[in-house]
Amino acid sequence: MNNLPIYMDYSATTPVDKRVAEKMIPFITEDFGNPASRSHPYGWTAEKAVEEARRNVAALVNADAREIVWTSGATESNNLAIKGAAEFYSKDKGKHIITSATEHKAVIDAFRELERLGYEATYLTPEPNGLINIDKFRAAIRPDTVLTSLMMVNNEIGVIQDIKAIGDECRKNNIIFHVDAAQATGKVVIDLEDLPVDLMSFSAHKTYGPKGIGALFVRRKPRIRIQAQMHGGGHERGMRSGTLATHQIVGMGEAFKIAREEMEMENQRIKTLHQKLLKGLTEIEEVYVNGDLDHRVPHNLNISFNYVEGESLIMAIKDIAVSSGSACTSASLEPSYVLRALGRSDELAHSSIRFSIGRFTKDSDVEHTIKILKEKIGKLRELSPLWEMFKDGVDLEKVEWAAH
Amino acid sequence: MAYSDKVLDHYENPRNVGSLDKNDPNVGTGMVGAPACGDVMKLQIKLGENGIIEDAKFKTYGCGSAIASSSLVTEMLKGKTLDEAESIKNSAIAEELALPPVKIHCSVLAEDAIKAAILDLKNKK
Amino acid sequence: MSSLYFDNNATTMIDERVLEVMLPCMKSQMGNPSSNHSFGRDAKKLIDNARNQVAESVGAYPKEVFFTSSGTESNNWFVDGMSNIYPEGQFFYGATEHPCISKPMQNLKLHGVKVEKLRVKTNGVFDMNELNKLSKNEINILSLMLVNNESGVINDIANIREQLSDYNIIFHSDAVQALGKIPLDFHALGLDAMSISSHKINGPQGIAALVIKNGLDIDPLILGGGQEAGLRSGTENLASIVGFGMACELSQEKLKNTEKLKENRNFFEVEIKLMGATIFSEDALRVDNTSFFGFEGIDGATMITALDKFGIGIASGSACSTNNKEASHVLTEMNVDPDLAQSAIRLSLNEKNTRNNILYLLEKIEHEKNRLKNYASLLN
Repeated sequence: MNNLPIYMDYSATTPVDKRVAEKMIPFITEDFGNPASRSHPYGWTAEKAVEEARRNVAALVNADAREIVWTSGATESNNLAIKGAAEFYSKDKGKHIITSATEHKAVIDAFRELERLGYEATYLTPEPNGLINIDKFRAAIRPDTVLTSLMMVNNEIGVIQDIKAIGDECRKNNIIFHVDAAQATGKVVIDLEDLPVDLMSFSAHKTYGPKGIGALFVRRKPRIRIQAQMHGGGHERGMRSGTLATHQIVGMGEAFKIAREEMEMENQRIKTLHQKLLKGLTEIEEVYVNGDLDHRVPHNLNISFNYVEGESLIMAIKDIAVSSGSACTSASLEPSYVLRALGRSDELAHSSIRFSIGRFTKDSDVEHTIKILKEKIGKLRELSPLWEMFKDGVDLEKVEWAAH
Repeated sequence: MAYSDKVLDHYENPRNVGSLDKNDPNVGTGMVGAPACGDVMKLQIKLGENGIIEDAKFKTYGCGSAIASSSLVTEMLKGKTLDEAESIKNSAIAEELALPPVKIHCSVLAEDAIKAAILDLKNKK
Repeated sequence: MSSLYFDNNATTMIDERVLEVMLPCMKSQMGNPSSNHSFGRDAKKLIDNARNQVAESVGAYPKEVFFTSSGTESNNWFVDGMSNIYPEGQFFYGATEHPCISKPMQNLKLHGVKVEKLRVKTNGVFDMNELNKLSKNEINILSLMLVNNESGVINDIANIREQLSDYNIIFHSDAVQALGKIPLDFHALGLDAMSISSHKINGPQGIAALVIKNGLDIDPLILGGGQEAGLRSGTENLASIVGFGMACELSQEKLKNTEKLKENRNFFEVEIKLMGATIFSEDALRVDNTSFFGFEGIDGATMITALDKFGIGIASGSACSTNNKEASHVLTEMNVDPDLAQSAIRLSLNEKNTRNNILYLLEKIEHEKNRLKNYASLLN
């Protein structure tokens, strides 16, 4: 185990909690059955477990179990919510939709698809701290605005948007409001009794559940309608067809139940780790924290290290499993579009690292991470002509670089 | 990204890192690339009395391949005349390090750095 | 317990060996397959391996296999993905397709796309005369299932493809019920796309694939992070993908042992006919594990509820539609008399069902049939 890198990539995915795995396994080995086969007891057992899981998911976000629709993950939930609601309501309201430039790719791409279908989209640029300015949001609203989609917690920089304030504006203007909460469950309190949100996406594998399962909250009062994107057997009250994976649903239910019971305690511990990591890494010269430091989850720390190049930095810290930008786009070496939207230069966006910590992160992991970073940043800067120039007092902005 | 052992070796143990006095008339300095492009190479060569390059140093801001390319180049340059140095081609660098296609530009940049350093030296003379 | 489970076309029990490869994916730290560190790369390797296993079992190239969340999604994706590329194309589907083909097709029709349903013969086999409806001057997008989920009827896809060799055609087959029951060779069948699903072959639920011929242009259904070569976004369902891969590998082994299934099914049918049952699609080429039958005048749903009390799991047509109290659309399309159709029961066997289990089933069916018949006569 000792030669494994330190896992600091909880925002990409979390390990399945052992208690979750234990709960899932009997549903693969024994209690099999197709939940839609109502006619025999094998089916009945599965259905009971599915409904218990539905109640657990609903309970974490203070919703009614009947408001939870299972999906294959947050990506599908986002697609279903955005395309499904736009399709249903645009006939009456209009075809203008609003989101932010720092949303997850699943939301951005669903918006692009709607644009191809004749919708007009506004992509709000957040403030440099990553937060959406409510006045700018208000200004973007038009009489034909039908839908707004914003994430609760940003996956790259961890900032928490003011969902209540934005939701209130949506209600006032009769706009359907979708919130991607994939990165929020188990990290912040979500109270859907109180939050003016119509649709909310969830993922299991970001909250110590299995991959390949998610859910969409669809409000009943006032009743929100969506156009199904997958047609067929009429599962999930017609909103989402396809055979349900019982063991995975059970896993998601258990993961969300544990999150509800342990979130408060867990967050205190993670806050302490976060403070330690932040303090340790900001002792290094010329580092920049990305995203607001107050309105954020402690699970995430995104930092740019100036005068070192991103890819070589990742190579240097290969003993720590981290992410530069979002996991989904790490195959490409483009700088993070989220950091670009915050106005970070290409260089700083390139040299950013997302550290994300969670349930199984130990104190010693954080200490070791700080030690490695200090050492490797020092080594890379020793190699860096930019660092040398900076130290010599050269203003890099004024240098004329030989184009190549 | 899978790197060759040679790239990893040069990256982990870069040769000839450092700076020479850029005001020394026998030192040529080449700086190529741009931060916004993701790589900047600074290459310096020092010419001995006999017209042979007696020292070479580099600093590089860039990916592993860029660091390895410039490190390798400093090794290749030592003991060469300027004419010999000028004939070093990027393909030789890329081949030696087994660079993947997306990283060929790092070897091009290293070749450019050699040319820039030699030009600087010649301008001083 | 599983020995009295006769509903294997609805879902199957997971194989121990499948479970064995899945458990480590749930119990140890696994990365996001898109992440560029060792955890992520290890996860990616597991997925690559599973993709090879799936491809191998259906005669496709690994890069032609795209993982989805269900057969339903695969089918919806094909229809939706094609309609975006060929909005002017002519779409055709078989009359007895699963609703996850027929409904998205009907949905296209509402949006003004040319869509037509192609008939089957009274034995449930595709009616070749219907191919005349296709046009040589236009692009034809055709979806026909390989094996019907209710009747078990096998369509001769390769022959249909051959009949259409002069046509500009994109040919999809829902092979969800075929995988593991008959040998599959994607390229030999001449298909452009094919849906398969894991939980029908003793793999986990919630994972499936759309096999897409190399070079076929299709739009994604679910957009986002660009997984699955940009065609199916969403973090990969790692443990289930690994399980699906193993299940596919094992299904090849099962194909060699379908004799016992056939013997048991034939034994069942001989006996059930003696009791007066009608077997649907009896003269058609069918998969070995399925028998679709009914007793005129005895409601199928009532019968399966009665059998349930004895711990017997058996179905009345497709599981997805048990909420509706309508007769099987498959039988309706076969022009079966509505009263008889109402009586339909589907037996679908697995390797673990023994002769004794079948005898027990037959005994209970006979018992319940007599009881229900008496009950019905009292009412009349």
